[in-house]
Amino acid sequence: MRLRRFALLLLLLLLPTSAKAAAQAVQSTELIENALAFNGKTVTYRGEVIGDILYRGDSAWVNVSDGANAIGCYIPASEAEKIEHVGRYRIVGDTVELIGVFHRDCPEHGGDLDIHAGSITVLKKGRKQEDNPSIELIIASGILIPCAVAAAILVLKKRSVI
Amino acid sequence: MFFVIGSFNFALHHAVLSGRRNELRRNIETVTFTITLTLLTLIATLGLMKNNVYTNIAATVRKGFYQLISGHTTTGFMTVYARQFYHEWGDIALFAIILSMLLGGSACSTAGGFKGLRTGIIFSTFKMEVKRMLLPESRISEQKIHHMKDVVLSDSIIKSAFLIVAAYIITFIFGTLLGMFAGFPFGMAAFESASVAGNVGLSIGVTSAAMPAYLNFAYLIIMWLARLEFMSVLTLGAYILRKARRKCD
Repeated sequence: MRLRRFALLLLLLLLPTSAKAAAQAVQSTELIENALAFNGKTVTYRGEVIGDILYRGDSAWVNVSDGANAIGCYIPASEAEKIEHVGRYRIVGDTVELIGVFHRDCPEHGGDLDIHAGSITVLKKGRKQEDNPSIELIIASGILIPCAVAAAILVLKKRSVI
Repeated sequence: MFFVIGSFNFALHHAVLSGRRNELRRNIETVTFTITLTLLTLIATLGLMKNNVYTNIAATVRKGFYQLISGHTTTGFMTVYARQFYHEWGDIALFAIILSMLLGGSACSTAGGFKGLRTGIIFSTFKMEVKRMLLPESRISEQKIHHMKDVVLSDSIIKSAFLIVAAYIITFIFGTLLGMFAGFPFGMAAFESASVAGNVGLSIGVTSAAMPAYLNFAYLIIMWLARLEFMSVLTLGAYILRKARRKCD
């Protein structure tokens, strides 16, 4: 009886720890630098969806960037449809989390480094991003463009004189 | 295919499009490129297989050949992460890529590196000198190379080829030394220096936002020097120096 209680207590103590470990996302740099160690393991990866979603029949390629690197993730096409925004110029893509198998050299995809995930969770929706030029840039342009025009006129005048 | 065609001499493009398809087979640059690409692909593949980098031969050839041809034609497209080159590829495959980046593409193209023409001239010179030593004097005739037309391998052509290749090698050595001084291991420093000197664009992870400013500046100068193939920069420098001396006098 005592042994059973002890075993149950031990199990309860271990469960939250293992759950936390599974949720802890791995950085792309860590995956690339330790690709051999992570090869074939299940990993949690988080980042912004960038580029284009490439549909391939029932599956899709999604490029997920955590700021340091972008890793190609192979997911079911139905999961890719959850993604609304894909990061590009003036658009911040959806932040997603996926749990999948990391391959250092995927045998299915010609030796590429990728993550095969069964599902994807959208953590944060993307948005449009304004990209207004800075005031310094406008002032610098205002000074340099007339200088360039003046220099061009001077050179052309000199040439016509010669 | 586009990498290779893009790295060929534009005069060769014109010759082929004008109907002189034989030029593809006879031109010293295409011959040199074929030989160096074949040899280096073999070396890179053997290096990758030795380290069991990829699980099957198809992936080995696909990845290895792609990076190699990207380096050799100085295209600069990468399908492996920069750090994978250093951590996984091993010294033999890295050596092959470094050499391919230094050799580069063809003259009169947008490619960088020594250029196939100079590599061909150097090898033809070696062949000529060995013949000179082995054969009786009466049997020795002038050595010719075919580059759009038959050209006699004169001393001035040989000197020019060796001069520029020597300048590239000195620049590469300087870039490698500087990379090592910045704290990077030899393999990484040499790879990045070759990429910079050849104006390739492949990276092993040295070039980043965190790189030292002096290394950044040095790479800028090396890229500029190598792009202009040294002589025009040296001539410009000598001209400015001469003008400054005259003004002081």
